[in-house]
Amino acid sequence: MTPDDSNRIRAKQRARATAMALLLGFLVVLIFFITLSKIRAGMHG
Amino acid sequence: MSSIPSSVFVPADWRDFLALTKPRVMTLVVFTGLCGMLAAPVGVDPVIGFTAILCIALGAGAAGALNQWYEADLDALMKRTAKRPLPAGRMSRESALHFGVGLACFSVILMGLAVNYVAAGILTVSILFYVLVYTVWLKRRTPQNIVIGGAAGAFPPLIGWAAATGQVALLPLLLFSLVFLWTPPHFWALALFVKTDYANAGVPMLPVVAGERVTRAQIGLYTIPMAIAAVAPWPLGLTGAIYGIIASAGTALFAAYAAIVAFRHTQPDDAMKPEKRLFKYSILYLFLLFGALVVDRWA
Repeated sequence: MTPDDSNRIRAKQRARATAMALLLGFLVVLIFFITLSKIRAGMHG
Repeated sequence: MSSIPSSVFVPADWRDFLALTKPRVMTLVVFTGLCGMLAAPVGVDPVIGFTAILCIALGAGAAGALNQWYEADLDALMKRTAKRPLPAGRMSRESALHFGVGLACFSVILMGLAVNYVAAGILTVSILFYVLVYTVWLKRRTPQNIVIGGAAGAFPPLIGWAAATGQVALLPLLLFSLVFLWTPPHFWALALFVKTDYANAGVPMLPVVAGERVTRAQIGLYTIPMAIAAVAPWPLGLTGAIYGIIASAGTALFAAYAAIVAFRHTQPDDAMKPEKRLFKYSILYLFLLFGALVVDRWA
C-alpha cells in the first residue's frame, strides 16, 4: 500500500467520523427538544 | 491504479450511504407525508411534526437502501443505476444491509416513542411492504410489480395524518388510493421510453412482457380510478373548493396526456415525447394536488 493509498483511507475515515459526530450531535439536540415538547404536552394535557 | 491489497478494509464514503437512501425519491415521500400531516384537522407540535417527517424520510431511506442491497446485481445491468454505490463497488453489500436494517429500526422506534404507535405501525408496514412485497417478491416475478409495489409509496400521507391525529380517516385513505393508482401510469410512462434498459436487465416490466399496446391501454385504464380518487374528496365534503377546482383541472390535464399516450402508436425512431411529457407532468401533478390540499385546509 502506497502512502497515497494510506492517506486516501485516512481521509475517508475522517470524513465518516465527522459525519457521524454531526449526526449524533443533531440527535442529542432533537431528543432534548422532543423531551421538552413531551413535558409541555403533559403539563397542558 | 490503486495498490490497496484486498485484505485492507476501505471504508465507504458517507456520500455513498446518502446515495443509498435515494434522496430524490425521498423528496416526494417527504412532501406527501408533510401534506398528509398538514391536511389533518388537528394541529401538531412543531418538534413532534418535524420528528414525524424525519422518521418518514429515514424509513423511506432505509427501504431504498435495502432495495439497493437486494438489487445490486440488477442495478449493475442498467445504465441508469450502474453507478450506484453497490454495483460500482464503492461499498460492500454487508455495509448496505446493516445500514438499511439499522436505519429502518431507528426510524420506527423513534416514531413510536416520540410521535405515536399508530404512525410507527404504518411506517413499519410501509418499509416491509416495499422491501419484502415489492423488491423481493414481485419485482422480478410479475409485470404487475409496480401496481402492488406502488402501495409502498402511497403510505406517507397516511403516516403524516396518523402522526398528527393518532388515527386513520377517509381523507388519508383517499390520498393513499390516489398515490397507489397514480403509480402505474407514472411508471409505465417511464418504462415505455426506458424499455431497453429494463429489457437488458430482465425485469418483467409491462412493456417488456406484454408489449406496448397493452401498456398504453393499462395507462389509460388506471387513469380512470385515479381521477376518481383525486377528485372524490371535494364532492364528499372532505375538502373545499380550492382543492376541488385545482384537482379537477389538474386531473383533466393528466387524463388528456394519458389518453394521448393510450391511443398512440410508436413510430420508427420515435422520440416518445408524449410519454416523456406524461411522466414529467405526473410528478408535477402529485405536487400540485397535495399542495392544493394544504392550501385548502389552511385558507
